[in-house]
Amino acid sequence: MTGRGTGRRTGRGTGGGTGGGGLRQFRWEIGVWLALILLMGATLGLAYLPMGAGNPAAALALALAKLLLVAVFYMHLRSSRPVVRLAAATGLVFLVALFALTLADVLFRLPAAWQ
Amino acid sequence: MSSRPDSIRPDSIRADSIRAGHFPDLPRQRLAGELGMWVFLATEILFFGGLFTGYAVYRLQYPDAVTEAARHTDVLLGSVNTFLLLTSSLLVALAVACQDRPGLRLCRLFLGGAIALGLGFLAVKAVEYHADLAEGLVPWPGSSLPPGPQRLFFAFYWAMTGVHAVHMTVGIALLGWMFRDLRARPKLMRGTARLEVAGLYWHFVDAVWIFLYPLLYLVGRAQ
Repeated sequence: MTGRGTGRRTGRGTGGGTGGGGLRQFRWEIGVWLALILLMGATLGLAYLPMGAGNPAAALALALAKLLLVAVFYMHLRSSRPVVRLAAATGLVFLVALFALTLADVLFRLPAAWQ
Repeated sequence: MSSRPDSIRPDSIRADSIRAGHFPDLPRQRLAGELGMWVFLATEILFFGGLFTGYAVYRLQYPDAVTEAARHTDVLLGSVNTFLLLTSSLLVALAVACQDRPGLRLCRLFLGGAIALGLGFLAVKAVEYHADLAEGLVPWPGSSLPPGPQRLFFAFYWAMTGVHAVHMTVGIALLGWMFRDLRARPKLMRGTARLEVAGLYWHFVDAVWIFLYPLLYLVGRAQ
């Protein structure tokens, strides 16, 4: 990770002059955007394919993929320090706890009461 | 601190940048800014997390009603807004990538574009809200939906998109502030984490929408 992070920083530095290098100097940012738009198209298209329970599963999986792209590249988690990554992970860890404990109840205990 | 001194580009530490007195050096000030925003975003994840959890519970409890109600949302406008937000995130990322250049023109251009797309998002949302109100897609009295779980879906729709729109407004104000400072106080922007920290907030608001889009607009389209 350290190596890649360093590479990105220096990569940015070498493209220093204004306008030098054209769009190539932004290939990372633009590549991630293309991937995001493709994933969005896939999300939209798959929503119209009847897949039963596969529909929400596919939608969530694709949303997670987009989230990862944004967090790792645009929010620079791939080159940020461990303490920053730790802070970022904290929110997700507690979100998982919130979902896990709530859904454990909703999926396995409450359905009997809903009948 | 010394394990990864390369984390901040050495040439971004410039004599003309502004370091607050209580930080020993600029990299540490920069790290504190980034870390502070991430800690705040962790609380934001849980803030939205409560809404997402509630949504999940009601969708599991009333799958058919949610499917039925969600078909009333406007897929076209929701998709356009998703595209606008994803593209605005690209522009913010580009602005951050340009902030350490000798000239800040390109940086401001990208940031201005991101602000314009953010305003476009809010304009589309306003059009959509207007149509929703006209169709009675509301959880309160005067609703065109049958009483019960279908109205619950729209309670989530209004709460989630409304809270998101408030965050968008804050994000646009933050980016606008940075846009002004890039011209008015360029010394304050060089080498500090201000633009990057504002960008982190913007990307977070984008990430929330990435989940709202399938949950509110794409449910029940296959039937």
